[in-house]
Amino acid sequence: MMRWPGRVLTLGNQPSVGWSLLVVAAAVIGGLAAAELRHVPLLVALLVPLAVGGITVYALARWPGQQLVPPGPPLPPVPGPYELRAMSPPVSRAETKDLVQLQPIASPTATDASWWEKADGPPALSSQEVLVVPAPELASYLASALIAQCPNCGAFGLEASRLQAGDGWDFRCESCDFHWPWQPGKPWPPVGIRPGRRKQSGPPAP
Amino acid sequence: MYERIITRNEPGCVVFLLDRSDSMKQLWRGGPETMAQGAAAVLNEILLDLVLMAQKEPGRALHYFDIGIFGYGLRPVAGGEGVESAFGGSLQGEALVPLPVLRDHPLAVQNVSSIDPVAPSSRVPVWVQPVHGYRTPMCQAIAVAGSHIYDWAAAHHNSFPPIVINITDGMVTDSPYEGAQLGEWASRLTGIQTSDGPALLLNIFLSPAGENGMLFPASDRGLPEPGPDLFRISSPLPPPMAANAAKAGVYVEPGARALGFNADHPMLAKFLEIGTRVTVGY
Repeated sequence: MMRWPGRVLTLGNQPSVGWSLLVVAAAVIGGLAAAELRHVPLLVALLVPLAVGGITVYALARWPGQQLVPPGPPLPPVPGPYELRAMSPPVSRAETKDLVQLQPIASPTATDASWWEKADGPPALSSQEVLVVPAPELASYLASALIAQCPNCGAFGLEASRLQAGDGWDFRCESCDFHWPWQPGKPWPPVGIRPGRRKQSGPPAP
Repeated sequence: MYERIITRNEPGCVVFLLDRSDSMKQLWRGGPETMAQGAAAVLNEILLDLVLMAQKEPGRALHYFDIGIFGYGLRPVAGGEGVESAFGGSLQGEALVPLPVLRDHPLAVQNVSSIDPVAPSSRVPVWVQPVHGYRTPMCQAIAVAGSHIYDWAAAHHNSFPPIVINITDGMVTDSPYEGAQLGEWASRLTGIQTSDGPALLLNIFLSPAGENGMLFPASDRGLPEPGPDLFRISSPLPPPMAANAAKAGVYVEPGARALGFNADHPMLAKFLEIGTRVTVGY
């Protein structure tokens, strides 16, 4: 939905004489009506509304930015900066334009006006720069982490060597001497925790 | 060249340059949508494809790509004519966004009715909104995007080269820009390179009417304006994309350029699929 500027009636720093008289007259009429109902002296009924009306007109003159928006047909949108904001979802692609509410903001994208004047392509990294590239955070490994245990006895102390053929690995358990092959991307074989199968007694090696 | 597998340690970079000029308000091939709406819809679909491709486990996308979208023509945020990031919402003003961040910050989630009246509607994310206005400052778009791509390539020297896909329907209106013609700007952009080759510039020209759409021509012969100019600035189609095209049933001649001309909605979708399918490791 787009924000449309409506017709604006300003009561800003320079209220019109007509508006001022209208406010004062309304206050006086209200005062006279109150005098009739509560039997106050006529002088009080005139002076108090006049003072209230005067203060009101003064306050309106000092209060910047007050706007009254009477009902009326919307005007065309004013060209200018807008922000895209999500609204309630429509039911079809054709209604995509109804998703957004446009609101004024300003944040232009700047240009680095000299990138093309630099060398032909970005400078190649030196070997030293390659060596000091920090390792990814440990959390980034969680998706592919594998806790390797011996399928035969459940021990953690394992040796791994490249298979002669293919890109797999040959594993050997240091506790029970069990051998098994494994290829990256393949599931790890089912692990059975059987301490009795280990040659050495005690907990599995860390 | 163009053999590097994209991994999380060596991610790829895909940047879209999206024409948002006034002519994009035309209905696309007489259908119900304007070219601005259609291009935004296809772009949202291809972004969702990339997110799903990187989603190796439920609820989490891996950082295989940095994505940029730069709109040129009407600038909805800054106002007036120019170039700015087409991301909105919390990504507003961002130049290149990692894929997991993109996944988590759509502008809106939209219910799309199924063609089958019995099937339930599906909820799809929206990242780009259709807007149009002003002229076609394509050179400035390359200049703005190029600065970010240059920085990215410097930081990812061993990655697959950046892929820049320009979606337009009109003649460039700001050439020469800062003293350089469109061809010079394209050369500057494709002068950016990683160790796996120069950046790739793909162009696709949308047509509101007409026929004779063409994908990956090997010559500019017979192409009406601005076909020859777009042909000259388009990169030679690299082998991985030529293989993608063959899988998609598109015949590619030797010497083919990364250009689509007089595209309709399906052709744009196929072009973007072919241009963004790169081998991804783990």
